[in-house]
This record gives sequence, C-alpha cells and structure tokens, in this order.
Amino acid sequence: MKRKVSILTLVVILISQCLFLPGCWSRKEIDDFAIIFGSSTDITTENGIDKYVLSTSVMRPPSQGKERDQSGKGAPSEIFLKGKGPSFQEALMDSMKELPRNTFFGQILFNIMSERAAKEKTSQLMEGFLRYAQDRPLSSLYVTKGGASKVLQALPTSYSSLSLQIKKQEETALRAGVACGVSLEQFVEWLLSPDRDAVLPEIETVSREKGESVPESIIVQGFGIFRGAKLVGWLNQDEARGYLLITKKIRDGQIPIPFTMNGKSLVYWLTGAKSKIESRMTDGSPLFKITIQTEGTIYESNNYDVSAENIKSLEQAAGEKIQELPLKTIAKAKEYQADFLGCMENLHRYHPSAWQEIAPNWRESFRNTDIEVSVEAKILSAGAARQSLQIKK
Amino acid sequence: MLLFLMIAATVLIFEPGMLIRKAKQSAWLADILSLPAGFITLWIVEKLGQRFPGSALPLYSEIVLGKIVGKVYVGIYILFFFVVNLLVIREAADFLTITTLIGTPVSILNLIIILASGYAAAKGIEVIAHMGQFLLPLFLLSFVFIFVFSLPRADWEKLLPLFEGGLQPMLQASIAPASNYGEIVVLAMLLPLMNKPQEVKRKAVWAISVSALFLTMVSLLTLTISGPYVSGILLFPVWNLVRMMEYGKYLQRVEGIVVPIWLTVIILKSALFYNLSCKSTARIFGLKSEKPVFYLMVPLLFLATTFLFGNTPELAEFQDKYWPPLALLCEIGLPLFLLIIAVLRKKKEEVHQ
Repeated sequence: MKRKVSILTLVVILISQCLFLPGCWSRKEIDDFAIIFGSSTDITTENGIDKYVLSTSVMRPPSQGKERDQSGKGAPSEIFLKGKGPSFQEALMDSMKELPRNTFFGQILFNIMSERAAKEKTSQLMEGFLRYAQDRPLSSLYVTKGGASKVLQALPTSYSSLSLQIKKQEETALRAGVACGVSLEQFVEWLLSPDRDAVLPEIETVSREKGESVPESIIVQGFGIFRGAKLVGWLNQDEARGYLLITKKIRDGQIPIPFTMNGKSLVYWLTGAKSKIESRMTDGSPLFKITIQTEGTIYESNNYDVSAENIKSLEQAAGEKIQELPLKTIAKAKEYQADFLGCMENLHRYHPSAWQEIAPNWRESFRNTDIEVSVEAKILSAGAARQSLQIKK
Repeated sequence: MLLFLMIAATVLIFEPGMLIRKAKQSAWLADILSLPAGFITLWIVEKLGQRFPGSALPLYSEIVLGKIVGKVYVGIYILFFFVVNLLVIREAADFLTITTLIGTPVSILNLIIILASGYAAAKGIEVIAHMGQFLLPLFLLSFVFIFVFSLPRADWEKLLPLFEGGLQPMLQASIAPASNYGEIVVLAMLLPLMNKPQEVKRKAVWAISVSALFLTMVSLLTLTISGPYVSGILLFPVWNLVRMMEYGKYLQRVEGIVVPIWLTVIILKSALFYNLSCKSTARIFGLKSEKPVFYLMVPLLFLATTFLFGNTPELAEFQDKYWPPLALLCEIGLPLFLLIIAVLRKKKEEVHQ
C-alpha cells in the first residue's frame, strides 16, 4: 500500500512538472519574441548629451510576412527598428516601443558600430555584450564609416534577409582577401590582451546611383584599426590583404594579384597562403621576421608563355609584388602605433623576458622595430593550356 | 566513482574562471599543483580508517578526543558539510538565474534543488551511490562531446608564455581547487560503509587523479579557445566554451543539452553532503531516528542558501577569498590534528569493540 502511494506521488510530481516546462518565472513563449538578428549602434550629441542611437533588425513574424505577400509586394523578412536614449538599454527599449514583443538576443548574428561609437564607446559596449548572457560569443562585430543605421536599411541581394547576407559575405570576404569576420569573443580577447591591438572588419553600403535615399546593398571590405579601445584608422583593400596574409591561413582563396614580367602584365591567382612570425631580441630592441608562403595559378597571362624555364622568375616577380601588400600594412600599423599583426604577442609568448623589458612602452618600440617580410610565392600551374595562343598575323 | 562525480561536479561552474583570473595562461598548471592536497587528505583519512576500522568519524573522534571535545569536533564537520552543501546549491541556482532562467528567483531554484537532493539523501547513501552509477556515463559523455567538438578550435599558442609572473599567483590560484580535491575527506564518513574497504584507497587515488585530469583539460580548453584574458573576466567560462561550439546550422546551442546533465550531477553531490550532515547530526545528539533531521534540514538549508548571500558577486567573493582556506582547514588541518592526538594517546579501536 505504502509503495503504491509513493509511486503515485512520484507520477503526480512528474506530470505536474510538465506544466512548468516553459518555465515559471522566466516563462518564454516563442510567439512573444522579437528575435533580433543584428544591431547597429551610433552615438549622437543632442543638447550636449551623448545619446545612443540603436537600430535593430528584427525577424518579421511569419504571419505578418504572408499577409504582405498576398497583397503582391514581397516584404523583406526583417523589420527595421530604431531607438534613441542616453544609455544603450534605454535606446534598445525605445526601439522596441512599437513592437509588442520581448527582445530575444539568442539568435544575434552581428553588431555594427558606427565610427563614433567605435571611437568613444567600444569598451562600454563590449562589456554590455559580455554581461548580457543571451548574447552569443561568436556573433560578429563590424565597424562602418560614418553612421551605422544606414547599413541595416540596405536591401539584401541574392539572400532573403540582410543578416544572412552579411554573415555569408564575411566568408566570401576572407576568400577574396578583403576582410574577415571577427567574433565578439575574439575582439574582446584582443582588447584585453596586453600585447595586441584589435581590428574589426568594415562594412559599407553601396548605391548604384548617387544620392539614393535607401542604399542598394552592402559590402564587407577593409578593416578598422583599434588602438586600445579606440578606433584610430582604417585599412584599405591592399592593406587588408596584407593583414590577412600576415595573420590568417587562406584556403580556397580567390585573390588576383597583378604583376609585370618583361613588360607584360600577368595575374597571379592566389589560392592559398600561410604565414609565420618569428621574433628575436637584438641589442635591446625586438626584431621580427614574417615568412609568407603562397600558392597560386596563372590563368591570365596576357599571352606570356609560362614554361618550366621561366616559372622561377615568374614566381619571384609575383612574390615581390605580394610582398608589397604586407609592407603597406606594416607601415600603417607603425603609423598608428597599433600592433594588430601579433608581432608583440609573438615576442611575449616566445621571449617573455624580452617582453618584460619593453612592456612599459611597447608601442614606442613597435614603431621603431624592424619587421622583415619574405614571401615565397609558388605557381602550381598555368591552367589547362600548355602554351599561350600564338595567332597568325 | 561517486567520489569522482563529487569532486568534478562543481568545479565546472565557477572554478576555471577563478583560476584563470589569478594565474592567466598557467591556470592549468595550478590545477596540477593543487593535486597533493587531495592526496594528503586521503592519506590522513586512510590512516585514521586503519586505526579505527569499522567506525566513522563521529565515533572515533569521541574515542580520541573524549566525549565533549569529540562532539564539538564533529559539530565543526557538520558545519563544514552544511556549508559545502549550501555553496553547491547556491552556485547552481545562481548559475541558472544568470544564464538560462533569467528572472526566476534564486530562492525558488534553491528550494527545488534542496527538495530533490533531500529526497535522494533521505533514501540513504546506497541510493546516492546508485544514482552516481547512472549519472557517470551521462556526465562523461557530455564531456567527451565537449572535448571532441572544441578541440578543433583550440589554439595551443595561447598557453604561452608559461609561468608568467612566477610561481606565486599559481600557488594562490591553486588553493581553490585544492580545497575541492580535499573534499575527499568525506571518505572519513563513508569508509565503514564500504563493501571492500581494502580497495578504497586505490579507488580514491583514481578518483582524485581523474578529476584533476578533467579540471586540467577543461582549463586547457577554455584557455586555448577563449584565451586567458576573456576567460578571466567571465563568471562562467566553461559555459561560454560550450556556447562557442557552433558548427554552421547543424550544431548550435549545445548548452541546452549539457547544462541539465551538470545539474543532475550537482544534485547528486548536494545529496551526498545532505546525507552526511544529517547523519552526523543524528549521531552526536544520539537520536534514534534520522528522519526529523532530514526534515529540519530543508528549511535550514533553504534559509541559508537564500539569505546568506545577497547576490552573486558576494557569493563569488566568498568562494574566492574566504572559503578555500577554511575548507582546507577542515580537510587537512583537523583530520591531521585528530591523527596526531590519536597517535600520541595511542588510541586504537579494539577489534571486538
């Protein structure tokens, strides 16, 4: 009898638990969510007070989307909301005023900072993102020149939603060698580390015609350079390539690098690259050596005959051309005294005692240091043709 | 097995963060440094056990120290078990409200965990041990899962430079895990209950080593994936690590599967300490039935877990600064004291007693 009662109690308890499956206090109904895909933060000054301007891109609830479809207009799958307030959270709640739903950041894909936000509020924003447990550590971060809210207003091309497009563009940008994604987690690690500065990919809007009110689409290209928690400058396309060659391993690359050989211009189609940084200490000042190995093919030879004899000299010519890219990047890094290349990090890791010596003014010593770059460019093939076309006169 | 679960259960939530904040890249070495604490405790408990085969700590402490001092001595242990228990519960509840059940009052979570563990505890140590047998594979599986899917992201260069800042921060950091390994002191209570006491030593050594390996692996992974600087700032770096296991659209939000498994193991640990504190209480007051103590413990634990710490920063600070030395005192200091007195007074349990 007693056994029966206890089994019954157990069953009742188990069943009653089902009632609380969505949670009791923190009950969440998916219908009530405003699922935020991305946000962008601006700073403006109004009457002498700095204000956050927050734009969010919220998933359009399915039912709402359908109604629009029936009326014949293809509605974008995201809603654009904008809010303003003296603090980030006030701005967020302000933007949510017109949407009778609870914010949900668990699906967030990216955050964009405007130029001014990146200059003034980077550390505050990052801390907020880390503290808020719903945010995903792998969401991407971007900076943009000027205001940030215009980016979210752009229309998606070839994707159903802008957020998906941005996420995808991050991957293709690395292959094209123009930018790469940086996750929230990675960015904060750079900000906190004593020996390395951070970069964030740059996102821009493009318009086919000048003066359009709604930008046509977006591109991810270039980087914003941070010194400490402050945006100080930008890397253009060549410098961004140099940065990627120094710090990243590139696979399945699609990077054309034009070079000249005997007066003819050829294109080295870079498909893969890896690099290595070595550091050492001589006479109290650090010395770095960056070795980059690349692989590529020549498709566009401008009727130049690529043969076994001249391939070595072609490789050298291509290598010299590639070498210019990292050198440009290094010059930029020294100009801003921001070591986002990981040189000092390498010194810190492999020569900790040397690092201790220069740690108090490491930026200064980074600017004066010698960084040697050597590039070994390999030409794997010249495509499927054995020789170039020699057409009768 | 039970011992392993007991040690490994709670180290996951707060500990790596504490370690990494202090020892930075060398946090995983601090884990290994703290290992001797576990072995010392084990050795002392083992020696005491050999002197008094068949009786547990409350009994032989009275033989060694006399009736009144012995009771006070056991009282300290009851307090120790109680505090460990309340920390375990509060940790889990705070973890839940901050990460997954945002908005749920801590008190309710406390109550739920206490009721669950109290139920298991009241069923006796054997039930808890069987529970351990059931949970161990789940727990291990969740870890194999984490290891396998996290390893490709690991960047081992992040561990360099080793020993930066010297040995001191590492030693400081190693106190907290040391107090954790020292929890093996519960063996003093459990020894007489074991079926095969002669195997206990081997098994306990195994349990400590494997849980140390676990903690080291977890620290290594958090360091190599998140990096030492971010992990030092985060309250729950391992949780963050699990959240970073994202592979396209196919593998995401694994924390939803892993966290419940951790919770069950935490309840197991809590049940064990619950049981021990109630049993010792009943013993020193000479109660015939242990039931009332079990009932009494529910409101007691509930009040303690809810009101002793007003908020999470207080809890983290207590765990970080004040608890480890106190715990080590109970784990190494007091048993050693008991052993020395026993040797000096030449007290030994007669076989027929």
